[in-house]
Amino acid sequence: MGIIKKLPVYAEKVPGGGIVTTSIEKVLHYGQACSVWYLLFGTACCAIELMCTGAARYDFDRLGMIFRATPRQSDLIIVAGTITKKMAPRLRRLYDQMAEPRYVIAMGGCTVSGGPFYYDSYAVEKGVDHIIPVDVYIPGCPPRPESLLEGCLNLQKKIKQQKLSDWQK
Amino acid sequence: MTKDALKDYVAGHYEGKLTPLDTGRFDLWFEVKAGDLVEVAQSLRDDEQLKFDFLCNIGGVDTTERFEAVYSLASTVHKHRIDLKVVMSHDAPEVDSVQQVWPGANWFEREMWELYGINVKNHDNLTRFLLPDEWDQGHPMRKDWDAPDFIRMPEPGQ
Amino acid sequence: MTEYLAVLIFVFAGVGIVLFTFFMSRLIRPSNPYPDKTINYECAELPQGSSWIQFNNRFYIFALIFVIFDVEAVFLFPWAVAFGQLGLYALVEMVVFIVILFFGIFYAWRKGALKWV
Repeated sequence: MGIIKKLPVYAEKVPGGGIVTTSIEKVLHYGQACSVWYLLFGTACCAIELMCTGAARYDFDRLGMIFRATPRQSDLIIVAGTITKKMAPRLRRLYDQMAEPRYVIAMGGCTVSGGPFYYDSYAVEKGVDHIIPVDVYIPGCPPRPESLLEGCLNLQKKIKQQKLSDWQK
Repeated sequence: MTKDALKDYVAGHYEGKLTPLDTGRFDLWFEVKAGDLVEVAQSLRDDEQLKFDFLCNIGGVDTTERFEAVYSLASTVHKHRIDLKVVMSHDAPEVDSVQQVWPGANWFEREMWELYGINVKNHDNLTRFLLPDEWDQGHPMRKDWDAPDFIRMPEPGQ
Repeated sequence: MTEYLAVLIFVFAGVGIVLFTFFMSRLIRPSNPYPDKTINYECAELPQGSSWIQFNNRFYIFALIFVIFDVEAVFLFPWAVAFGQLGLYALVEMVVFIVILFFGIFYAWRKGALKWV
């Protein structure tokens, strides 16, 4: 951990050191973006679309995304389904138990802003970004598997734009 | 029993306790007073011709002037259904528990208390179980309930 | 002697590669432990009770029987390799060996040690 944190700082001082940083970044990006393992987290109807996307016709495995049942082994949590106020602390705990680097995809209208439950509901948390920081929002009720796959590709693009100096956080 | 035969039978046997309501809906509706509820429920369940042994649902209703509790009953033996309505005042809604008659009424009444505030007498465990653990904002399904993040559907035209 | 040297080199190479990957991963990964992260995982609820539970002894019994018959297999392999050069005497001796161990597993079977539930 020591070397990676100090590497960008030292590399900038050496002329041509930027190449080292960017090559390491490239390797790390490919390693991370092409094998994002997601936590199986489905509460409501969007979970059915998540299952469908993971099945044969629209496949998650070709993007390197395998489901894991435990947050300890996953990089990504696809929040699929309505999050009620009762579920919110559990979701926060699951997010906390994931290891960095971790990403969140908010799938479906309910996680983006409460969806159909925005009006007249006392129990629904109107937007999952009140609870955990979200990287990609996918609107839809439920989003089609193609939408979800595009969201995952956008996440891969976002991962590939990270800089090595971000590791210092 | 057919619907008409059922209506005549019930209206005949429960003169004074159950009054038929004409709601225009498919099922038979009867209104019962809160004081007679347990006795009527017991005899509805035990009567050989009626045999309402299955309590489908207990629902609470809040029209802004009064509270109602609706009991949906069905008979697994004779395959007929009936609905009972108990009307309560808006200030102190109270009803007796029917859990001796149908044990499944336990959670329905708990839900009714939790969401509407309808006090259920002789209930052994009237605690919050559907709402989140640290809920302190009252009874949400009441028409006059409000909260900072409770957004009502705007009227059409707004 | 040189065959054993080759085996030793293989062992070192195998262990070395694994240690190398651990080391590289330790260099690269972020480390940010905080109390909410390190609690036990109990399907997103707060953990209740201790996570050290008592194991059922059927695991021990199965492992024991496995070790015994695995050692028997270890004896079988070189015998099978050199079987061509040995004569009838080796066959009879190995059959006797297997029959003796068969009595052992027959006893365990009838005693119910092989039942999982």
